Amino acid sequence: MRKWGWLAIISLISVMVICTILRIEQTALFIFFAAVIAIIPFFISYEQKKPKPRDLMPVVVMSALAVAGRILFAALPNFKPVTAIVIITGMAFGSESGFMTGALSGLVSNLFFGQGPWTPWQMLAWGIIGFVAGILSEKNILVKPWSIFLYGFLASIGFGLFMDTWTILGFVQPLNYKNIISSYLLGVPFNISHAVSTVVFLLPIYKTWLCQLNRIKLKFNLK
Amino acid sequence: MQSLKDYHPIVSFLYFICVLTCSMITRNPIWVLLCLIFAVIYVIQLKGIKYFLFQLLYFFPMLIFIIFMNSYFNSLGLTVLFYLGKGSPVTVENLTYGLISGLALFTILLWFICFNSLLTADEILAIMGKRLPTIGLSLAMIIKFIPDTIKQGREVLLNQKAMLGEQKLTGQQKVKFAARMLTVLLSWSMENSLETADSMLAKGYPAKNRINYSREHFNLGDAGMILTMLLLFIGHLMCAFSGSIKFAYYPFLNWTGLTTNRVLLIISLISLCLILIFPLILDMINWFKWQKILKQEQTMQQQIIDGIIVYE
Repeated sequence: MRKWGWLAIISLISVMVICTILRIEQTALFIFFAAVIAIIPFFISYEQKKPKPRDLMPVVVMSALAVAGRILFAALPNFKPVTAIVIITGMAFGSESGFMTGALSGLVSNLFFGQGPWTPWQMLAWGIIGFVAGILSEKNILVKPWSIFLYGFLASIGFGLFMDTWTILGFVQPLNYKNIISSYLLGVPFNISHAVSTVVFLLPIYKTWLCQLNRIKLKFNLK
Repeated sequence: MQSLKDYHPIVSFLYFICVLTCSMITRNPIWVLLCLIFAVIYVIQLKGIKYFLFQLLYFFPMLIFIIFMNSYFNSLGLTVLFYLGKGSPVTVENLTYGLISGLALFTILLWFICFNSLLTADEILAIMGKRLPTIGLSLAMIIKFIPDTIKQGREVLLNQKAMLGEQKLTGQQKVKFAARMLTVLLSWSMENSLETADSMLAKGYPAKNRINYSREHFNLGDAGMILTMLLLFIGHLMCAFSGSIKFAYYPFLNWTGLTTNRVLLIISLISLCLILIFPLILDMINWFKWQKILKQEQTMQQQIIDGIIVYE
């Protein structure tokens, strides 16, 4: 999965860069479908593993918690616990479960809030956040609390930038560095509020949830 | 004939992909405006005019943003209107480009609103369930677990509050309280779900003849619909990209496609309109049929009243 996943991400980024440099008129179309296609290798490799019902459950439960949290906090814009929960899942159950949790929470929460052109981007962004969290914790980088908070903060900012990318690349032409920077800067207040909310959610739960998830993993012999 | 909603979900899904591609494939104003007009009509038909006006309100700031980003930072275009700040000319060309881009984005958002009311959650699950069974199952279970989780969360909160009694919490204690509540919730939902998993296994979960819930059957009418749509779509793309779709914004507005073959241009415009008007035609046919039945019913009633038909 990991190889295909990296390949998908790298090809998505290269499609973005090529479309922008060549100033293609159909940039919005191409990178939208590239984002949809980039999710597929992750899904197919998950499907091919044929997980047992028990191994499905962490992804299902964590996504359900994330979506429930997003619904409960829907009144406050950009104050969503999804990123925090996805990061914890990635750390506890590995990068694949992290990706699936992120992607599925994106898809299901939009069944409630309405699908839009943002759906594939959200799925991909949350998926990658979980994926990278899994890899980082495997390499023992996310051990100290401050590193987890820092990752949560940066990941939320990255999420916001990633979400803005489609609008900027697809609908602003010709692009120059002034354009790009000022478009991203307009989103900064939202991104900061999202990042703060992620840290606020991580603060009380990261220690106990990680402990608990590890215990459940041991107790039920989950992969 | 049925309306688009009553066909197999894959038909509405494909239709949706076609119109989405049509609205994103070009910035030719004629194409964008045609897509926009039909999207607006369809949204109003599905959701009502009030909903549409509300969306318009939401969209307006975004339109301003896109126009600003397109015209402030580049000085392309020959017809200068005025200068914004120091030496950044706002021209007719970059204003038009910004406006058309913004409207294209609005069109896409409107199509997604149609998509949301055309395809319900269970239809999306049915489409996914056949091709990606594990993910389809996970999605169904997530949707089932959300209300469960919220309900259990309320219960846990009540219990935890009951244990506190009259005691007031300080800031740090509140965080601890929230953490404890969430921990209880997590362990409950994990253990609950693992029990579900065990019972699934006991009932033979990975059985080969397991099927997904799906109310629709794919029949000949659906196949015909898909074929018509794809033919129209591919025909449209071929005609349009033989040259008629080309439109240059810079250095001045110029529909370069006008100089190419007129027949192809007309064919491509007609095919675009046909694709866009597709669901409306279906609905119109339905409406007329329904009116006919109503009329027959009325004459029948009249005849009974007049005594031409006598019931024994």
